[in-house]
Amino acid sequence: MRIYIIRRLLQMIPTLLIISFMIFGLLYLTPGDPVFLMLGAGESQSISPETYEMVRKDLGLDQPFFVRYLNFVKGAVTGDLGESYVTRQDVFSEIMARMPATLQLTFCAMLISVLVSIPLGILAAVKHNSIWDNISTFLATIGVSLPKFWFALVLIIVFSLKLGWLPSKGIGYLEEGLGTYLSHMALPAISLGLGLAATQTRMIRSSMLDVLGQDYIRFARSKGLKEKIVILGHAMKNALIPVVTVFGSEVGGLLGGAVVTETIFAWPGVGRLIVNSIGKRDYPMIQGATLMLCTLFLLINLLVDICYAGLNPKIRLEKK
Amino acid sequence: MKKRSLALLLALVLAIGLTMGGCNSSETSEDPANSEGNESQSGSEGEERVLTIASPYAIGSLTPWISNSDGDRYVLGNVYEALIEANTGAADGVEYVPAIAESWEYTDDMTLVFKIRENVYWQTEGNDLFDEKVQVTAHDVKAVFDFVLDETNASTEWGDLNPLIESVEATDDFTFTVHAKKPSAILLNEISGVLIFPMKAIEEDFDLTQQPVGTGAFIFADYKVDDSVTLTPNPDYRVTPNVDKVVIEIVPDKAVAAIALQNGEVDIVPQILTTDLEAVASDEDLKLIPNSVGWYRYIGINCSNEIFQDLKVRQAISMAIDFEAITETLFGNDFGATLAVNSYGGAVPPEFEGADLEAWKAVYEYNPEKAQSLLEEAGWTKGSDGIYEKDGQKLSFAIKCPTNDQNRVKLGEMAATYLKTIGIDASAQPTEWATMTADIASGNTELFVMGGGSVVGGMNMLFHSVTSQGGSHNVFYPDPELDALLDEGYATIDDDARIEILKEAAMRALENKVHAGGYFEYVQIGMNKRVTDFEKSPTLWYSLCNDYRNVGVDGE
Amino acid sequence: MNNEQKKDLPAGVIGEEALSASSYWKDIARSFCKNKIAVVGLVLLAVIVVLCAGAPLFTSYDPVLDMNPSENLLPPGSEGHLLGTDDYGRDLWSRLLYGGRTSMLTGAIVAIVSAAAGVVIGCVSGYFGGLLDSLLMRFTDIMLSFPFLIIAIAIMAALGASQKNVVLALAIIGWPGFARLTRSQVLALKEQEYVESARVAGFKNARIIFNHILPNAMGPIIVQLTLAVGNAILSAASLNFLGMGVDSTLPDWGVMLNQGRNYLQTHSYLTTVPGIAISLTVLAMNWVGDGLRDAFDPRLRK
Repeated sequence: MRIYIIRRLLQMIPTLLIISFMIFGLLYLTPGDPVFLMLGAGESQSISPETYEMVRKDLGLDQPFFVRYLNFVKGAVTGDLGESYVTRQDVFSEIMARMPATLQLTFCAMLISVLVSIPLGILAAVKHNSIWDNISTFLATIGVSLPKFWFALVLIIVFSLKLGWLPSKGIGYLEEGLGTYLSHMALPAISLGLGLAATQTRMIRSSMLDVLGQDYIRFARSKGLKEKIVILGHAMKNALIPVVTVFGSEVGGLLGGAVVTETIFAWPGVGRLIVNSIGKRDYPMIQGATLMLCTLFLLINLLVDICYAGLNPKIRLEKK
Repeated sequence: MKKRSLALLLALVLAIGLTMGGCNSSETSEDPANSEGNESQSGSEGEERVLTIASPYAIGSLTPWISNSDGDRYVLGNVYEALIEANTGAADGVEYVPAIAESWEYTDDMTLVFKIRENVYWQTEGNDLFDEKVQVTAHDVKAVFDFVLDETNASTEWGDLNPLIESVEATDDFTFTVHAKKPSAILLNEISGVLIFPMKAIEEDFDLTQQPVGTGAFIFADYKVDDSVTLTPNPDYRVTPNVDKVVIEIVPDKAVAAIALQNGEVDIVPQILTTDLEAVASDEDLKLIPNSVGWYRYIGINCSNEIFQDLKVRQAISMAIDFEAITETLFGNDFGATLAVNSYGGAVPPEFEGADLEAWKAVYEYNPEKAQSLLEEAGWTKGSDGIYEKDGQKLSFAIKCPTNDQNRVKLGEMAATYLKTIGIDASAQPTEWATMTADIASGNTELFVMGGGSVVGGMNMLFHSVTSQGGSHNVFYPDPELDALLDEGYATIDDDARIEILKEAAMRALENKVHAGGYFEYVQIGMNKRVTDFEKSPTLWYSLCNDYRNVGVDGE
Repeated sequence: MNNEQKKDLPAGVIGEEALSASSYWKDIARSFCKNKIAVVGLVLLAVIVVLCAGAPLFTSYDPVLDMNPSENLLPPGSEGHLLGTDDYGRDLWSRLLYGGRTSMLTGAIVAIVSAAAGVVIGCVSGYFGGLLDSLLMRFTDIMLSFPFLIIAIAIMAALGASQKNVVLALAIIGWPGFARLTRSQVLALKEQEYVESARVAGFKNARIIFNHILPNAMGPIIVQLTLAVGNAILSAASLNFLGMGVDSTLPDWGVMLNQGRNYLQTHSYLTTVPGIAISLTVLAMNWVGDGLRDAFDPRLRK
C-alpha cells in the first residue's frame, strides 16, 4: 500500500509537467492579447504602439515560447508561480487568498449533497419502482436538465427578494458572527449541493440496485439478518464504488469550476479568479491556478483509488 | 466489522471533501434550516451612515499610474485626486471642474498654467508614509508628471500624454505650467486622467498598490479579496464627507446587483440591465438615473474585406436593417425612460461636439427593396437557394457580437435576421470579449457589434485610419480626407470652428457607411432614494466628495 | 458494440448466459416491455422526436425569419402563439420544435461518442492494469482537471466555429468521466468468480471484457449516459455563448434557456418552456435507461 502511494505520488511529477506544457500550449493557441486587455484598451481607450511595445517587453511577452515555458517550470519547481499581469502580485498568494472561500463553499455543498443523495438514493433502490423511486428520478432529472444559473437565480429571487429571509450575495465572515456566516453560505451551498446531489442520487440508486441483487446480499438476508444491517452494512459499502468515482471527478470540477455559482452569489473564490484571469488573458495566473487545482485534483483521485481498496478488499491496487 | 467501518469512514472523508475548509459539520448541518431572522440589511443599525455601492468589476491593480478597469477607478478616484476633473453632469456635455488645481488658463495655444490650491495635504490616517500633515505643492505635481512622462516607468498615461506634452514646470510653489507639443483640444481631458500620488512612496519603496495614499476625501481602510473595499473619511480634507463609511462591494452579476438594490442591501448600482429596469423603476424607494452621456453602439463593417469594399454593398446592408425597430424592441418601455436614441449611424453622442441628429436622420432610410436593388446593381444575383451570390461566392458572413453585453448580442441577432429576410446569409456569432477585441484588432472580422468611443476625441478612435488601430474599433477604412478632417478638428482650439469640422467628419463617416448603423444607449444607474447629492453628477468615476458634490445618505 | 456482443454470445457458455443469442435479446425486450414506466419513457421520447423531426407539420411559423418586434414577449396562450413569443417576437412553439432538432441530436451524439470512447478506455485500463492503466488514468486525470473554459476557447480557436466542432469539443471534454467510472466498475468485477473462471477456461481478454464484465457494469454507465444528454445540451449552449456555435439566431434549447436568463423575474416562461423540454427529454431517457438497466440485470429479470 505504501509503495503504491509513493509510486502514485511520483507519477504526479510527469503528469504535472505534461499539464503545465498543455496549459502553456493552449494559452498560446488562444486568441486574445494580454497587453491589450491589461491596458484596458478597447471601447473608450486606445493605446499607442509605443506603449504597447513597452508593456509587452515589461511582461516578458517578447520572449519566445520555450524560453517562457522553461522560466515558468524553473520557477514552479522552486515554488514560485510568477507574478500576475493584472495585479502585479504573487500568483501563489493571490490564489491562496481565495482558496478558503472556495473550500468552505465546496465543503458545505458536498455535505448537503451527501445528506440529500445517500438517503434518497438508497430509498429509491430499496423501494425499487415505488413512488419514492419515481420522485427521486424526477428530482434528479430536473437537477441535471436545468442550468446552474437558473437554479441559483430562482433561489435568490424566492428567498432573498420575495421572502427577504437571506442575503442575495456576498460572503459572510466568521468574525461577523455565525448567523451572518451561515445566512450568506446557505443559498450558494444549496444551489451547488443540490445540483451535485442530482447526479449522485441516480448513481447511488443504480449501484445499490446492482449490489442488492448480488448473491451475498441474498445470502445475508436468508441468514435472517435485519434488513437495515443488510443494506447499510453490506450493500452500501460496495455500492459506494461508482459513487466515490463520480464524486472524485465532480470535486475537481467544484474546486475550479464553481464559476457560475461564485459569480452569481458574488463569492470570492478561485473559480471567479480563474474566469477573470481568462477574460484578461492573465497567463501567469491561469497557469498557476490550473497547476494548483490539478495537483489537488490528482491527490483527490489518488484518495479515490485508495478508497476502492478500502471499500472492496478484493480490488488489488497493484498488479504484479 | 472494524475494517468495514474504516472503509466507510474513508469514503465519508472523501465525500466530505478533505476537511481543509474552515467550517465544521455541526454548523453546516443547520445550514438550510437557519433561515429565520436574518436581516438582509447589514449595518443599518446605529447612527453610522454607510453608503454601499455594488461594482461589477474585480479589483485589478490599485497602482495610481496604471489605469485598469472601471472598478479600480471607483476606488482610486476617491483616494486620489487629479488636477482637474471632468464633470459629466454639466448641462452641456463635459465641463472641467477644479480639484487639486483651483483654476487654470491657456496663456497661449501651447501653454497651460494651473494654480494649485493651498490647502491640499497628503492623507495621514491609515498609512505609515506620512506621520504628520504635509502640504502638496506644484513641485509634487511636477514630480508626478515627470514620472508618468518617463517611458521606463510603464505608466498607462504615457501613451496619451507623450504626444501632447513637451515639458512641465513648477513655476513657483503653487503654479504649475504645462508646455504642449501642439495645440490640442483634448489636452485638458488627458490631464484630468493623471492622479497625483506622493513621490515619497517611490523614494521610500512604499507599496502604494497595497496601501493607496492620496489627497482625496476618503482613506483606503480595508480590502477583502474579491469581496469589498471600505473607505473612511479623510479628516484632513477640505470638505467633510456626508457619510461615515463607503463600502464598494464587488457583485459581478448585474441581475443580482439589481436584486440587492431592491432588497436595500446596496444603495448604488452603476448599471442596471435593461431587463431589470422595470422592477427597479416600479420600486418606490428606488430611482433610475440616466448616464449623462449616450454610449454609442454600432455595427461596424470591416472594409478591408473585399466584399465590403463596395460602397453599394455597405449601403445595402445598412438599408436592410430596421434600426428603428431594433431600438424600440430593445429599449421601448412603459415607465417613460429614454433608454436609447437612434442615431441613424452617426457616431458622436448628442451631448458632444459634432453631433447632428437631424442631419443624420435626413440621410437615413430603412428600405429592404432598395437594398436588394443596390445589391443587384453591384453585381449580386440571387441563387437557387434564395441567397445572393457573385462569381460563385455566396453573400455570407458572420456578425460577431460581444457576449458581455446582452443588448449588443441582441442587436447582432436582430440585424442578422433582417439581412436573412432579403437573401443575405448573415449569422450572429456571440464572441468572448478578449477574443473579440483581438479579432477586431487583427481584422479577423466581417461585421461586428461594438460600442464606445463616446469620449472626447472619440471619432479618432472610431474612424481615424491610424489612431483607431490601438483600440477595438478597427474598420480599416482608409480615407485620407477623413483623417485630415479629424486631425484638423482636434487641433482647433476655437470652439465654433472645431464643431463645424467635426460635424463634417461625422457626416463623411456616416455617408460612407463605415458603420451599418448605430444608436446611443443611456445606461441607467440604480439608486436608493436615501442617497443625496449623487444625481448632480451621476458617476462613480470621480470622488463622491469634493468641491461640487458631496454624496450622503439620509439618516433613518 | 451490441452487435459484437450478439455475435460472440453463443460461445460464451457460462452460467445464465448459456442461452441462445436470440432468446437472450428477446428476453431483454420482454422484460423491458413489462416495465410500465420504461415504456412510458419510450413513448414520450418517440413523441418528442416526432414533434421535432416533423416540425413544419406542427407549426406555420419560421423559427428565425418570422420575427415580429411589435408582438414581442406575448405570454403563453396568446392568440396565434400557443406558447407566446420571445423577446424578438418569434413564436416560441416553433422555436421549441425546430430547436429540439439541434439539441437532441447534439445531446445524443455527444453522450454516445463520449460514452463509447470512455468505456473502451476504462475497460482496457481497469482490466489490464499495470503501466497501461497508469498511463491511461493519468491522461484521464489531465483531461478531467483542466478548466472547461480554457479547453473550449482553445478548441474553438484551433477548429473554428461549427456545430460539428461543438460536438467534437464536448466529446473531448466528456469521455474522461466515463473512463474513470467504467474503470472503477471493471476493477470491482474482474475479481468475481465467474470472471476468474472464464479466464481459467482460457477465453480471450476481449471476450471476457465484452461478454462477462461489461454487461454487469452497464448500470452506472447507462445512468451516466442518460444524464450526459442533458448536460451536453446545456454545455453546447455555453459553448455557443463563447462563440463556438454556429449562429445564435438559430433555435436551440440550451441557447433559448440562456437567452431567457435575464427575463427570469418578468417573463419566466422564456426559461421554463425550454427547461421543461430538456427535462422531459432527459426524464424520458432516464426511464428508458432504467428499464434497460433492469432488463440487462439477470437477477432482476426473473
